Amino acid sequence: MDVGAKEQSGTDGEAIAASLEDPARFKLVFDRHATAVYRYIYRRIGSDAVEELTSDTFVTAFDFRERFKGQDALPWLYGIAANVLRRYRRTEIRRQRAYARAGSLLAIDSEDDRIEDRLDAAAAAPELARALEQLEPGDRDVLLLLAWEELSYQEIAESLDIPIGTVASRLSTARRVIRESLGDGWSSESEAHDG
Amino acid sequence: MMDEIELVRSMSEEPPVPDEESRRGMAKRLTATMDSAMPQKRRRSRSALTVVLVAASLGVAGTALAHGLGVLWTDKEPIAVQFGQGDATTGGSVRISNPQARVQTAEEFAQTVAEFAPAIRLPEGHDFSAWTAHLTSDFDPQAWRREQIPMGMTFVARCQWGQAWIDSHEAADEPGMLEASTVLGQIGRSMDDAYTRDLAEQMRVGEGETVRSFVDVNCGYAGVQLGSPQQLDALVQTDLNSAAQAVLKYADSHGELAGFSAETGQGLAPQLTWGSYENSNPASPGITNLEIVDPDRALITQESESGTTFCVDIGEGGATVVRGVISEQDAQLLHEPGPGSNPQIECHAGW
Repeated sequence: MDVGAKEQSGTDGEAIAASLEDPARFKLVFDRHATAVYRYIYRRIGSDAVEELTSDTFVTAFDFRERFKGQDALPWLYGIAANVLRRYRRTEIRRQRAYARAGSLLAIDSEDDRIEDRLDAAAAAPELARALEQLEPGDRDVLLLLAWEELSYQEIAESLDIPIGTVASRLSTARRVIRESLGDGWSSESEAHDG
Repeated sequence: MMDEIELVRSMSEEPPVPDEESRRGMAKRLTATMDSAMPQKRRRSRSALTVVLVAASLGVAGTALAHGLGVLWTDKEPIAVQFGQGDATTGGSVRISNPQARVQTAEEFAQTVAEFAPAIRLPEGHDFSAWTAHLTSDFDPQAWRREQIPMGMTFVARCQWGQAWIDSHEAADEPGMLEASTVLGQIGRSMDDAYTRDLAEQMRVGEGETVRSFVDVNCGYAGVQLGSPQQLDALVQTDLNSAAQAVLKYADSHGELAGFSAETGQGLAPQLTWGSYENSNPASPGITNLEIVDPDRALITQESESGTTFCVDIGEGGATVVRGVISEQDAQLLHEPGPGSNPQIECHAGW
């Protein structure tokens, strides 16, 4: 009987269900997703408190694990991380401003075939950072889960526990705020993400 | 030209992957939390040292009160501790000195609990002693920073207010239910924690099953009563599965079970409290009892606080495993064991 191997297999949903009786089984969820959650939080606030907040995310997830009903826990963990991150709003703003400053350097160093795009992006970076600051927290969460973590609408809806229509409307709002912030000189190439 | 999404994507550089040390650090607190959710029966195995530590910590709290610090929470602010690093603003007015400092000893842990206890509102007559006792009985000096202790105490508060609501609900005590849901909602707002707010909302609308489930699953060491017989039985079955794993591992490496003892089990599954019929250890909830019936067969039993005694019968050197229950008559034999006798207990398949 290879009990150990059995414990390492199966879905997140199975591990979480098992953890209701054997809490240690939740460790598998951490082993699988700690890196992704850490990187998501790192993108948003940098290195200052990333370990603390990653840890907070998993502790909160553990405490509320009986509510998890799906199979893949990662979108759910992103949603918890987004909630935990609200306590660190000012750190996040500093991080976005740092991105804006670094953006111009990244563009100049870039050798890819979209150098013009990157230069445009670099020029827009300060306004973009300000636009992200202005977004409502819920709108920003949707935007960043789509742009950085590349979650689908369905996954974002599961992650933030909101209807899929709300995902679309929040994203639409976020894009509008960005467009307005960038001004007339910027025109969106595609509306593909609005659908 | 990029669209808005691509533009946002382009502003982020590739984040690093956490190294092993970082992962271990992040896992420590989760492990401590998982351990805190373990069944209440293990409170029985806490050491005498712990009791002394808790008494000392309560003494410190008493001293603080005597010096006029008194209760620091208010009717509108049940968590008077200010959490966060740098810019975080959750919680109340009391700042945590040296929030990132490691708590190195069980004594220091208990003192820190006592330091913050006046700042966290619990239901009347309740305290943090069960939680403190559990975490100091097998203290991990790498697991806690100072800031994390009052944070953990807020989880205890959440559990105890959950239990208070359940008690009031069962007694049809509406003012009690209202107080519990109100305080929990305030805790959720104070901590900016949507999940706690949601739990408070479940209380407010009378979702008893959800609240019960939350307390049963998360609050084993938070000074609350765990719930249903099914829940208690499930905890015992979990222990027996762990014990069976230890026996099977031994059988796999030794080819027989003759040399397996309660001491061997303690080494392989230290989270359990092992006893044995041969050593005259009477059965009781929280004790995983072992009997090596013959060189190829081990019988493991454990009594649930529900009253049922569960068993795992491992035969043919580990080739067969039967999970079941034993009769009340056989269970009585386990309460009065004697060295050298063979109780001939039968494990009836059943779970």
